[in-house]
Formats: sequence, C-alpha cells, structure tokens
Amino acid sequence: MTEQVLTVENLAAAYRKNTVLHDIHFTVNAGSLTGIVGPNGAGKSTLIKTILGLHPALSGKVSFFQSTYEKAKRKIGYVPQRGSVDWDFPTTALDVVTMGLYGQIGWFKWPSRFHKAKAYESLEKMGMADYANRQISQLSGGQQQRVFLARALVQNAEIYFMDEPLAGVDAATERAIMAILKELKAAGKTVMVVHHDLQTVRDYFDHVLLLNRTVIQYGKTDHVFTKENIARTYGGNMRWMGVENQDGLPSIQQ
Amino acid sequence: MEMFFYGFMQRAFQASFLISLIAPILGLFLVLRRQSLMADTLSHVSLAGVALGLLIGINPTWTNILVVIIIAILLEFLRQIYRTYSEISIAILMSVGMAVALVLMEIGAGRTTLSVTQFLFGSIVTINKEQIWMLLGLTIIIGLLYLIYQKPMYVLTFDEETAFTVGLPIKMMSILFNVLTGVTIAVIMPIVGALLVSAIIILPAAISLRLSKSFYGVILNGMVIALVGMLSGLVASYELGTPPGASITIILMLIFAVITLAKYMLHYLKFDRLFNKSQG
Repeated sequence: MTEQVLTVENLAAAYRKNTVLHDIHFTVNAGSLTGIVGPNGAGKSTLIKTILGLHPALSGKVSFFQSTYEKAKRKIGYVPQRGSVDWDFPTTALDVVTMGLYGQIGWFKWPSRFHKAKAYESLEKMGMADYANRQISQLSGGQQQRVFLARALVQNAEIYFMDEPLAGVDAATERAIMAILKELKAAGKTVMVVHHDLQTVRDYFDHVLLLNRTVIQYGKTDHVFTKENIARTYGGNMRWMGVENQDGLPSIQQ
Repeated sequence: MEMFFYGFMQRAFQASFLISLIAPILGLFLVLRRQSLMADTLSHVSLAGVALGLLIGINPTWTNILVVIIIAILLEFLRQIYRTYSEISIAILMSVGMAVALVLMEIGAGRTTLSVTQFLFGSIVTINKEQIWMLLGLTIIIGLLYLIYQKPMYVLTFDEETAFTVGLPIKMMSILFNVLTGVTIAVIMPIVGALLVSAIIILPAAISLRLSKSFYGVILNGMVIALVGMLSGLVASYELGTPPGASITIILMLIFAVITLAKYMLHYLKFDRLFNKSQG
C-alpha cells in the first residue's frame, strides 16, 4: 500500500483582495515525483507557499503524513526560487549546504567534522565539490541552483517542495538535478516541483498537477497530461507542434 | 601621550574598544537585512528620546532607551505592512523622530544646560562611568546572544522563507534584533552623536564585506577595522579638537578608500601578469 504524505483539502489563498487559489483538493502518495504545471499567474509558487504556511491560507486544511505541519516539519524540505535569496551574501557554498543540516545538528550546537563531511559529500553529488569554498556570488546561476539542491539533499527530508529548480539553468545542471530527483524518488521520497517547460514534463515526472487558480487535474502523467487537459489549463492559448501525433508537444503562445 | 592621563580620554578609549566589538556584528546583519538606514532612523528617534528625558527631568538615557525600543518594534510592523517598499517606514520614522525631537527641545529650552548640538555631534568629554558600564553590559549581552543565536540569525538573514519553514520564530528574532540595535544606538549616541552613530555601526561591516568571503571573516575583520578607525579617530579628535564622531567617520572612509584602491591595484596587477604570461 502507498502512504499518503500530503493531503490538501479546500485550500484557498489570495493576494490582497484577488483570489489566486480556490477549491484546491489533492492527495499525494509517497514516492511520487510530481510536476506542478500551469500558465503564468496560475498560482504555482503560491500553492507551495500556502501549503508550507509561508503565505496565509484563506480556508482549507493541509496535512502531512496524516498529521500537522508542525509535527511533520522535520520531514519537509523546501527549495525556494533561486532569486529569493541574496547571492552576494558573504558565505561559501559549503556553508550554505551545512545550513541544511542545522535542524539535525541542533540550532545551538556547532557543526562537527562529520557534518562538514556530509555537506561536502552532498556538494560532490551535485558535481560541485571543487566549488565548496567559493563565495556563492562567484557561482553561475546553474551552480547556485546545484548548491541549493545540495542543501536540500543533506536535510534528508521525506517530502520536498521545489520552486522552479530548472528555471534558467544550463543543460548540464538540468541533467544533474533531474538525476537527483529521480534518485530521491527511487529512495521512496516524495518530490513536488514547480515546472514551466511543457516539453519535458513527460520525461521528467510520473505525476502531474495541472494548475490554473484551481487544480484542473492531478494524477499519473500518462492519464493527466493530455491535449484536452493542457488546453483546459492554459485556456486555449496554445500552439500545437507536431499535431499529427495525439500527444503532440504543446508550446505556449501568450 | 598626555591624553591617556585624562579620565575622560580613558573612558573614551574604553567606550571605543567596546563599540568596536559590537558595531561590526550589528552592522553586518543590518547591511545584509537591507536595513542599514534603520540605524539612522533609530538615531534620529533617539534624539527625541533624549529631548523627552530632558523635558520631564528624567535621566535622558532611560527615556531614550524606552522610546527607541518602542520604535524598533514599530519598525518591524511597518516593514511587514510595506513589504515591497520597506524603506518607507525608515523615511517616515526618521523625519517624525527629528521633528518630535526639535519640538520637545524647543519646549524644554532653558530648563537644562545640555544643548542640542551636544547630542547631534556627540562629545567624548561627557562620557561618564555609568555609560561605560552600560556599554560593557550591552557588549556582553550582544556577544552572548550572538554566540547563542548565530546560526538561526544566519539562516534568517540569508533566506527568511527557509528560516520560516524550519520553524524559527522569525518575527520574534527580527524584533529582538531591532530592539538590540535600538538600545545600542541609544547608548552610543551621546558619545558619537546622533548624526553619525549609524556610520560607526555600518561602515566597519560595509568595508569588511569587501575583504572577506565568509561570515565570520567579515565580522572579525570588521572588528579590527572598527578598532583602528575609532582609536585613530579619537586621537585625531583630541589633537585637532574636532568632533569625535566626525573624525572617526572620516578615518573609516579613508580606510574604505585605501582598501578599495588596493584591491583594484591588486586585481590589475594580477591581470597584467596573466596577460604578460600569455604573451610570453
């Protein structure tokens, strides 16, 4: 049997008076790798932020591992958008990754050699070992994203929320990140990723959550990621490429 | 050398030493939290605190601390209201603080021998034992809090969202930080002057940011820079009879200029060597 790691019921959220999300219902099973897909302004980032309590919910209930967010906190990992932090911060890549271990080390203790080694190992896994002692402002966008991923990895959470980890990264970084995501899934972890590139959805994710202010559909990619559903999500602003094929790759025209 | 025999100079050196220890810690967090102007706001507000104390005849240090704590808490709420324009709260409170101070001082004019200029520009002659003890207490409190909370503060400053998701009490920490900054300013202000107290807190950290790539490196270098700047500023102030806050600020600016120039030249030399190598 599969364990339910996340249940969202009747969730709604707004910015000032504009409702961004309404009637959000879905349940996520352990070991799934979900792409959250939808047009600009569909509320993809807001969905993640509201689930994590970073943005206030107007209504609804979110439970993690059939329990509350408070109790499950240690099992939850969050990778914010790269642009949300200050990359001029005087700190090294290794220090950023070590930050992911603070929950385990305890807030008021110093990281031991063991923890430093763990952080280094995680950087190594992302192909960033050579950059461990670089100041983070000297890293490229893709490298910064890898450092972020390495920080999430050491946290050893059960469920991860990632906000556009593949946005604006180079092809090598994209491959490295996807390899790690698949590895996490193989290890039974649950991963939810805000994703913007419709072309790669089929290759990357086994589940898709189509979102436009509300959940259009959620489920296995094969069932959900159909031409009809995508058109419903994007409101018809689509240009279909390779139409002769039922599953033709869509691209967005906005 | 005779300056060391004066009690007021000894106290000034003691105060400078203590300020050099705390300024870079607060300064670095203020700079990284994009709040470097908050120090300016609080110093203007703190003038109002002093004026209030003089008016109602209570030791101005205490009214000052009280007023600054209230404003420091208010600042955090204003920061939340104007999320995207967080500098608005600074602009509002800075001018209101100054306005209230001027009005109060005018009402209280004649009741006290202390003048506005003394608090605007600071005076090392007036540092008393009580202020040194307060500064020492404050240094110990800030040092201890920094040692205990450095990791949570580091995460909060780098990435507030992650700090929230891992369950840190971010609002509480922000307010506590603002309050500490406020109290520090209230204590230092009479020494270096309301107009330049923020420079003394911000500049060492700002200069040090150009030198170190690690967090602790910035703080440690900042302490050295602050110490050099403050001590030589004091000596200059004594020898030339210039206001201490202004002398210290100018010396810190000179340090900044020298470091920037040296970095530029080093970079240029390195580049030159690389270029010559590839030619040869």
